[in-house]
Amino acid sequence: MSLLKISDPLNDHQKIPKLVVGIDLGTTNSLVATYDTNYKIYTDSGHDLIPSIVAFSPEHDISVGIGAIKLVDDSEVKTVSSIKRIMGLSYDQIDEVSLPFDYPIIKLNNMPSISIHKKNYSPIDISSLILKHLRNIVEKTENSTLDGAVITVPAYFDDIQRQATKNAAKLAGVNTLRLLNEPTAAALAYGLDSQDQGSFIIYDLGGGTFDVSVLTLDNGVFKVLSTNGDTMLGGDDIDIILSNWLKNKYEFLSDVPLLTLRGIAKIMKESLSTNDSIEHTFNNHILKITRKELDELIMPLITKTIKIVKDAVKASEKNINDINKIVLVGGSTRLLLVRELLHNELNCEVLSNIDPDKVVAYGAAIQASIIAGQNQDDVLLLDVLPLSLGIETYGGLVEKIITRNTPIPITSTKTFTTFKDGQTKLLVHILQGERELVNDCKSLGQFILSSIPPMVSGAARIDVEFQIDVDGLLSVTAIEKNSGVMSSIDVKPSYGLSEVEITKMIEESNSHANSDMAARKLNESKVEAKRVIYALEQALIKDGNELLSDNEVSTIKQSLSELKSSLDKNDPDLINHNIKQTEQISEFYVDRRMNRSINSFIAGKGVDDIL
Amino acid sequence: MTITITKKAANHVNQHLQSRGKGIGLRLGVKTTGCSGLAYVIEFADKIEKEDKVFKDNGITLIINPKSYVYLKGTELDFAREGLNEGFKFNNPNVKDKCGCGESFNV
Repeated sequence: MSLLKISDPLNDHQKIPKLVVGIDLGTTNSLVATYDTNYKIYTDSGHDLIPSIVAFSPEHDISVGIGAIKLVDDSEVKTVSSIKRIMGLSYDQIDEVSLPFDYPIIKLNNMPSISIHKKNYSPIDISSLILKHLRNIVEKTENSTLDGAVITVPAYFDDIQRQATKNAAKLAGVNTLRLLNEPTAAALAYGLDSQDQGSFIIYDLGGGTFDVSVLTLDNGVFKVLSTNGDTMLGGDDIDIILSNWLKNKYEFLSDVPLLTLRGIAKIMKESLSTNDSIEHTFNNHILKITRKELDELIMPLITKTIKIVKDAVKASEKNINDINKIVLVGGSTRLLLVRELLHNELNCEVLSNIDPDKVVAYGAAIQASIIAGQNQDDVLLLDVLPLSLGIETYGGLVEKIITRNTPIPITSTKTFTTFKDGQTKLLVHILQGERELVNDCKSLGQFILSSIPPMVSGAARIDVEFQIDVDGLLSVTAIEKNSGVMSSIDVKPSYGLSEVEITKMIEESNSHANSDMAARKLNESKVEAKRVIYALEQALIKDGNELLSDNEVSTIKQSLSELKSSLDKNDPDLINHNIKQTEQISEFYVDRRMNRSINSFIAGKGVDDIL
Repeated sequence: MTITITKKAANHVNQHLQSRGKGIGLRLGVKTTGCSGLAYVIEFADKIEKEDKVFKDNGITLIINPKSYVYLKGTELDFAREGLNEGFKFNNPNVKDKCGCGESFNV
């Protein structure tokens, strides 16, 4: 018996990070927040919203955020903004989007690259500079190193765009705990995950982009059903409409620079979210607009967003009536017209009491704190495995590969082998549950690993790898190490079990512990018996006639048939007894076989050859 | 049937618990492993789940999940020194055979 050391469960899982934040990595602005019992926003020189802008001096001194904004007017300095629009896109894809960038984008290995003062920066480089800036702000404030971050991405980001975001974080020295969809983050901030199920619209009208997502919640897991939007529609458009209106109404404004005028329009627009009319004094003139006038101006634009919302609902194959709540995200949703139209057109509750600029960062912060284990109360299906996962092994038993409550993502591998000589196929049957027998667990899927080269039983080395990604997607891969043949399957997260079902399955595994153990014992005996029978029968076919008299053959066959018949009696002790008996009876046969193979090995060889 | 711990093992557990600074006792268990069946698990425990079986012996709280308990009934936890190696040892009456390396066992 080997000697054991006490292991500490606290050290078994990956080190628990302490300082974790949520990052809303936005197109125009980014935010960093943390959540313990309250939210805390990390500010850049006092500003909550940190501009996603990077400035480069001719000497390649880099400033980010508020520091970069201050340099925008310096003609020597080049600034890069809205980099998120081209994250993870190839050069050709950008052409399609044809976005108005005021910095040169060149083609480098078919990837876009930004040439600044004769140096090339990829979108990932730029993004990592922003993330590094955010990291520095947090680390300076807390006087401690940042252990990890949940970073939000648009729901429509594909794998490449997500991977690009992760790479940027890595480059910035930020440990990505998870990428979280922006709409999901907003839903988390409103605590919508505390309900059992529901369907929600996340309406995100930012400065330059409009995104809408339809989410469903099923047993604590959010799923994005559809996304829609307009990448060229946002609060900036409203400012332009309003500044044009002002210019038409007040002639003296025609000489005012465009940017100044837009600034005024923005201020007036914002105050109309709380007032019915506003008078703004500019160069001793009074500018006046009422809410009604503003609403009329922007009505076409907001109506357009409502249509996009309805299209998104249609694409999600839900009915408008199925939608329980609408969550507002983005500063432009402060416009009262947005709230009124959404409420009237879709006839459901509009959630707006959390600052729409911060709601995504808040949701990310909550998620980060859950992952870090600081907020254990509501840690559930989002980040731990609710039930064990394993595969079927010979005899109808379940071998667990990942045990329940393991934090995800996780990868785990176990090695298996073939049971019979020359076996060329292996069925990998994936099961979920706590019980010992296949019949008592839930089948998630199966596949066959074929083309295993014929080998004696036990010689094949088949690694079965279970991989669960952050979204709970399970993929199972089986690979035979000697030959390299492999096969795999992706299992959709059909952990679609309610908490009640899960609790029941776990309780059953406890109350059935005795019968499960008996069943395991029986099955193990049967497997062993079958192995003995198989080995002996194969041997008899091979050299039974040469090495044994007829009498001896029949004695062995007699004990074999006894062993076989005991298989049906479901008595492990009887089976074990018969195994032992068969082994004893055939012992001399095994000896003879052994001697013969040694003889054939040393035959015709000198002593020196063998030693 | 109870689970017991020898005085020698209890002394070692106490030392470990003290140097760890927290923990209410030891959690014992089995897990399926490798080719030959089951292996022992021994770890610090910080809380007792409601389904757990709890035993007290020589001042040490031993906590066992009912699922593991059926494999461990009557086990005595001992501390042994073998050559340069020392560690905990399960004297488990349920064990039928062990695999060659002593890592796993069958009931």
